Amino acid sequence: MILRAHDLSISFSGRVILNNFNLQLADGDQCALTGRSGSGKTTLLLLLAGLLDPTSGTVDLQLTPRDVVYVPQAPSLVPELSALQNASLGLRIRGVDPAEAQDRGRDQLRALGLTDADEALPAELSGGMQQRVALARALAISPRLLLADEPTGALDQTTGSRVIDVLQEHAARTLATVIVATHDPDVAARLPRQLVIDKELVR
Amino acid sequence: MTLRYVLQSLRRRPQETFAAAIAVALTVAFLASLGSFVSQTGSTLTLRAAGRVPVDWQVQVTPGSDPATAQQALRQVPGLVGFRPVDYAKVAGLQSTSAAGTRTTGAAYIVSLPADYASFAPSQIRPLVGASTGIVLQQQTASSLAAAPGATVTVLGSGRSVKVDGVVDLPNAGSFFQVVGAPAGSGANAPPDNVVLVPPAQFAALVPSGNVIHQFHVRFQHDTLPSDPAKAADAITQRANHYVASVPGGALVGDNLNVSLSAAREDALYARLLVLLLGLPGLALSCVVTALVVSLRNDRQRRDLALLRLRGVTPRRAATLLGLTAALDGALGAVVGAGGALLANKLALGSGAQLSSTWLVVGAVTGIVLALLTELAPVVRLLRGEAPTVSDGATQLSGTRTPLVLRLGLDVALLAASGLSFWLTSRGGYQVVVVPEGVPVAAVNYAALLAPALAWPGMALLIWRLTALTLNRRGRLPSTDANGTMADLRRAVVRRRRRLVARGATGLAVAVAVTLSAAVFTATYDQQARVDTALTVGSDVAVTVAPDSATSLSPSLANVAAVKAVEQVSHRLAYVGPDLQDLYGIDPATIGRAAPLQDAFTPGSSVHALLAKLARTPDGALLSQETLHDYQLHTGDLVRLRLKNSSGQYKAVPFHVVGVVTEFATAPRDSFVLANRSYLTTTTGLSAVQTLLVRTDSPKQVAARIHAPVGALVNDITAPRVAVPSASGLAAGSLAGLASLTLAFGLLLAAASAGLVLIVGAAQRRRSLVALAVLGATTKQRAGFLWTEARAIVIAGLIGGLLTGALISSQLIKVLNGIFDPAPQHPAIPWIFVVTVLATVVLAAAVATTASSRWAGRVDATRLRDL
Repeated sequence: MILRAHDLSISFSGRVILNNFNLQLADGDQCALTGRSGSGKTTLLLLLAGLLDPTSGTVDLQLTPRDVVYVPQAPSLVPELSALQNASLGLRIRGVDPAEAQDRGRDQLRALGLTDADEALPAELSGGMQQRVALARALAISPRLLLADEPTGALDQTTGSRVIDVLQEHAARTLATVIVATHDPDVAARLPRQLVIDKELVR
Repeated sequence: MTLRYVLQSLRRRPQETFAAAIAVALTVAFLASLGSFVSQTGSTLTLRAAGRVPVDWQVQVTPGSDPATAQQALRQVPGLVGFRPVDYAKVAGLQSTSAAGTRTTGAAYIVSLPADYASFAPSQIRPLVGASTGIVLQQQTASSLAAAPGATVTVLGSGRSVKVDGVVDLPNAGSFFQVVGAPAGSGANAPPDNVVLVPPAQFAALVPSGNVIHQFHVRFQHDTLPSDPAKAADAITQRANHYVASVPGGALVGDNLNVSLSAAREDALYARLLVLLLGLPGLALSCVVTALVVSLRNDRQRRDLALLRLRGVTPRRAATLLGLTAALDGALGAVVGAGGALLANKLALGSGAQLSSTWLVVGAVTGIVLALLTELAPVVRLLRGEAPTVSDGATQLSGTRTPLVLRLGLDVALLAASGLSFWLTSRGGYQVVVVPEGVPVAAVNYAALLAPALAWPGMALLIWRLTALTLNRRGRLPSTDANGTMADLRRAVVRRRRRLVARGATGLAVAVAVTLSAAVFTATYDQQARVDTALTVGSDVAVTVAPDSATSLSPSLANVAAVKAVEQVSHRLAYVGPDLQDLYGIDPATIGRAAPLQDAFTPGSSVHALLAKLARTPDGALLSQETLHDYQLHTGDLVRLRLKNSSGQYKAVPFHVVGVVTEFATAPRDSFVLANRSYLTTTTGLSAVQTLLVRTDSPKQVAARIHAPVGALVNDITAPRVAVPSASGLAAGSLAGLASLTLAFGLLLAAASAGLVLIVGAAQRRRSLVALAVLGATTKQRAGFLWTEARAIVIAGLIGGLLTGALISSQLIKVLNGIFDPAPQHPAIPWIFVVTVLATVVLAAAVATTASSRWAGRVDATRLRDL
């Protein structure tokens, strides 16, 4: 068990977003997180990533913070850095040698179908390409827990499918736990475990 | 609804509102203070010029006319405070007899003064010994007659004797005995050597009745004069013309007030130039800084506009709502700025300074307009559809392309034009302001100002170019980075943001340059004012007796503690042709130990080289420019001067001209002679020393310790009465006021530029910093990106600011050369202030970077959801 969330609740300005949620994740779990807009999917991912503190309840994480990566819905790349520099950024933050970081970043870009965008700036890439760079950046780190928020939202079906392939291959190879928040039933269907936020329950 | 939206908008973002209001207040306060300073400078100069005049008019009754008629007409002159009758007549001489023998002077003036004259015109008479009313001798007369209070003096001609009540100095003898009605520009008349002041009751008995000159000394109200010195001079001239016309042929007016006001015209023009050259760049910078801070709201406004549009608000109404918010920002800033202006006015210009309500309104309107323009410009762009979505506006990355002005090489062109203008001005002798004496016309060579005016934008663009060029270097990939410092990535970010960084560095450089150039200019002015004072006094301390006095001052007089050097000077009077000039016998090899010397005093040569030449030429003489010109003399020419010898007779002594000198300690400005003291002793048989120049670091204490003989004066550089009404006269107070304003606001602007540019940069990169945090970057790693940018801005800004400050201040000092008296040999650099400015900038940048890295790098729910 790498993560156990117990009676997790959070509210903003008096408005309850999540109430008494419980969740357990094991190594290699591949989960789809679905629910209505505004149901609290993003908030839950942020809580699990340790980026938000719950109003009550606990998140018991058996990993170091640097083993966990959250991929936001918007690509949120550093606009002044090239695609390759962005892809290797997470590794550089962790003190990996620059050349190795670049190689690993480049590999992930290739894996996600970005073959000739190494030197392109984010502003020169489409939304979908930016999203793939952000995903490459996360995968390059080889996290133990990957929390991806709508990673295929800006992609066409083929590319989205390829992204999910890459995520699953990665999880299988590294035994990483993956949670993908999505509105797309096809994407959700490809992942073995389904987490649905429905009112106050996570199933 | 409108008002509620505006108030809520301000209330929801108190920090942004506060920052915008403070930024607007900065410009409002600076503009209102500067405008008030400009409007007050004229009236201050007018009052100061009028205050320097001992009496405003000397109305002289023409021979044969009735003084009563002139007096009656005088009562009708507007603005009259009062007048006093002053009569004087020339007599053959004066004689006194004492134990030392009988002494006789040459021609003398007997002057009739009413008993209250000293209180009517306080600056005319300075009591020295005994009473200042009754029978009073002028200092030099008393010295010539060896007469003290109680002595008896006989007036030759009438043969009557009078008993001396006191000895006084007549500081303004030159204007007192002026030739009334002499054409303007005919030059000053040498004041008489022998003067006796007597009560009116005794006057008639002492002088022959035929040659009495009747005058009325007149004083006017000064506070009713027009504030502009030129207009005041015109007004007083018209008043004099009207008076003269009212007594046709009956009186002439010696218009001292007009002369002084005319001289102040030059000061007023220089003050205007200083505002243009020191004040305006600061004001422009203040507007830029304000715009920069107010623009912090732009991002938020873009989002607000999008939300308003989404809710169906029309573009016009949305613009009205945002415009009102901006106007309220401006209004808040105007209120705070008014308070700031009041404070700045009191602190910089003194408690008597009035804040001009007109300029306050101008400042407030400017602040509001600035806020409107800065806040609405991006909104207008959005309304036009140039950035159609909020996302577009938020994710736009600044361009890296070199701005058009730099691609066109405008910086090089401007600097080249500035250099050319400077060269042309220097060829013309830096005559920026031309105010011909006696002519009611003043001319300003505004073309001479082109050099600094072009240098400002030229240097700003050059700093922009060089900063961007330096930052555009690609870094190498480091082989290792175990600590995750990511130096190469930080440099890459700064490289990509080089246009913004260059803009920030340029703003900072201009702020630093504005402050430093004002500081260097002011310090140089102060330095020269001190030299001017030292020239008037002679040295730090000077002991003097009258020229040609038989009393010799021994250097042992100055044998007191804290004295560093003593120089002996023989102060003689010598006839150069028919002109009586001051001649100073010095020891050229050592005179520099105590006398203030500058190369500017010896045109065409260094002062030390010329003194060395004088030392090598025993019969050498340094003459003034005027004497060389008037007598068509050149270096190497033989000139014979007539000097008194030991028997009291004038004797021709040959000298060889070795050069020209313009200034010397205690010497008058127009004409004087410097020669070897040993040569004077050999040729005249007189070795008396009339002046001791004393060098010390404690002038006041040393002056108090020196026990001078009777009749000798001890002056020191700190005595208030030797404070020199600077000849260029730029009212030191006026410059001090402008300098205080510019320095204070400059320091604020320099700190604000450094800090705000970094805060703006951090605000722009907030999303990136949060993204780094999500990736697991530590606070230190995130701050590292901001620190790299801060370093680039501060280093480029400070280097650029120092270079620009040095260039601009050296140009200002050269172009405004006429302000300095004497001309500076080199600029004075106020190192402590320079270091303070640099430290303030570094501190402001450090504080801003630390604070903004904490603020911008903060990870909370709102920011995470904004990703």
